[in-house]
Amino acid sequence: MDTLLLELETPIDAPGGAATRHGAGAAPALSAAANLGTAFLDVARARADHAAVATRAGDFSYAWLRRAADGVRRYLCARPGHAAGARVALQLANSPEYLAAFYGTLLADGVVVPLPVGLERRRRQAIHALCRPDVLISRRDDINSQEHESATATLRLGGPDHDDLPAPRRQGNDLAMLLFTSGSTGTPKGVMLSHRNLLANAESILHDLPIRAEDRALVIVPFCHALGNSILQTHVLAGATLVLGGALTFPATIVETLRELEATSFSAVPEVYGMVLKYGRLGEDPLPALRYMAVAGGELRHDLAADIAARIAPAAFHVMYGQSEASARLASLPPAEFHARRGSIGRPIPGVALAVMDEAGRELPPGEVGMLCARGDNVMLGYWQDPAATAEVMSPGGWLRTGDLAHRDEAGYFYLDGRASLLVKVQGHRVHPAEIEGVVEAGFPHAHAVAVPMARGDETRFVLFLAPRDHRPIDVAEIRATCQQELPSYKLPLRFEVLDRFPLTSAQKVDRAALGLRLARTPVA
Amino acid sequence: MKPDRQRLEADLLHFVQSRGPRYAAVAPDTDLLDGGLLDSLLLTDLILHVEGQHGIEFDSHHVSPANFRTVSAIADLVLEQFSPRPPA
Repeated sequence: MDTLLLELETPIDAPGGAATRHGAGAAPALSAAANLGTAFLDVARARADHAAVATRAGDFSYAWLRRAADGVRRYLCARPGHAAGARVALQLANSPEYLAAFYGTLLADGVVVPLPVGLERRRRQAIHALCRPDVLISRRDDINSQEHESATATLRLGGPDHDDLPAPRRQGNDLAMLLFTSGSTGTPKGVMLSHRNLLANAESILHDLPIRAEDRALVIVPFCHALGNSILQTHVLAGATLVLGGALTFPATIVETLRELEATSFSAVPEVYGMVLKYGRLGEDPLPALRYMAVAGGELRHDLAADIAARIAPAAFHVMYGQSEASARLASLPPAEFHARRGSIGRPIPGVALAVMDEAGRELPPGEVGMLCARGDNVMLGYWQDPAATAEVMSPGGWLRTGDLAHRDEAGYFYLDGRASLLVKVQGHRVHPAEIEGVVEAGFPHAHAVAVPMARGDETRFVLFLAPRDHRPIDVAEIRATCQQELPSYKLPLRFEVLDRFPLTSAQKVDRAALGLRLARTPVA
Repeated sequence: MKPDRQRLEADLLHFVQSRGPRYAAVAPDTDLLDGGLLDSLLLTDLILHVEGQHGIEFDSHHVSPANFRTVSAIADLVLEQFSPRPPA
């Protein structure tokens, strides 16, 4: 495998410089394009002077991005033996270079395999063994020094403009992207997303939110994750601007970036909102440019969501639902329904059908809990070289089993009832961790509770991990007393452990597997 | 009680250094942000450690890159909590 390092050439557009905030051209209609790379080129031509990426150091225009992507395309196409469908791994933090590598790969008829920058070595080796990338594209900052020394080539982005870009040949159902996620067994699974999947979902979101050409979205979710990728694709296809800046380590920097770079939107996973509420100083200063915030990628507790909504008003707060297997997004709750449909994930976005089904695949009536299933052009082609795993989640009718339990109300709004794969059997009783966590969090809203199953002899019991959501201390004795009072014995946690913070996965969700491993290492008294 | 600066810095240094092999060489003036040593988990652990040791409480105004860039800066921040500060 070759390693290509990307470097930025200095002439980026200074803030307020050549890249304009209000470029003249509107983004062209999407439906005409069958290849995401072609759709990008159309936008880049129409919005040439507009900022595609805004950072504190300056802006990167669509014209720049087109040249940079073409540079990547030329490098890939010039490689001996380059063929359509070649996998190109991206090990890049959110950056202009990521966008250049992403679209450059598609323009070279390649398949993008985005990897988290901090991915542990063993997992990366497993992914490489599964999909055998031809090229790894990275940057000096995103790769260790050993790999950096063995790099095959360095490419300075932002070279001369060529107008003779050949149109890519791949389209429609051809594979565009392989998104590796954790399987329930812990082995990586490659979600195969086609050009049609990505274009269809982007188009739905563009209509639903809606996203406009003058929007500026602050993104801290990594682009290599489904939500980050979805934010990227939708804003580029709208000819809008991605704002990069701020770090989760210091949540106040997220809010500062929103204000200083005049972001109009922010979308993140629930855990990020928890940090922003605790240390972000959200609501202290007005954010006049902000139009909306959105949460996706997990359930944000209603009281926390309501707190965010109150602090950002009059900006709107959108609750969204999706998963990697559906090119990210499936449902959306209109802000006007936030209080009336408490806890709802909303209704399916345009082009998507959702249904609650029983184990035989029959649709259940309103109020009944079953498997949430989804159908639409955004549903993946399947898992990479894993027909068995694909068959487990895809039914012949085109329905994707999300793995989430849900019910719907009479008006067609959906509500999550836990994740099916987290179901644990304790002495014959099916228990979902949320059943324990919910009881604790209802009584102690300042505690974040995560119940993790633990093998004890031949049985399974729960350990309850607790972490503070604010400065108030956690009183384990009180929480234990509440559990003893409200939970049947089989749901009662065997042990309570207070942590300063929960470990997060690279998707910024609570890492339940890491908590489980922690249990395996510490013997039970 | 206002902690002794030397002991405070030694305690903070020990806390950071015991985080793992990458942290063993951290000195009082090592930039924790540049090398990506300070992630959101270590930051939270440090905050809670200091708060617990010295009975102080940081709010969102204290949790900034400038105050947590080095062990020495964190020590300054802790000591500041024990001195009356001129109004900003």
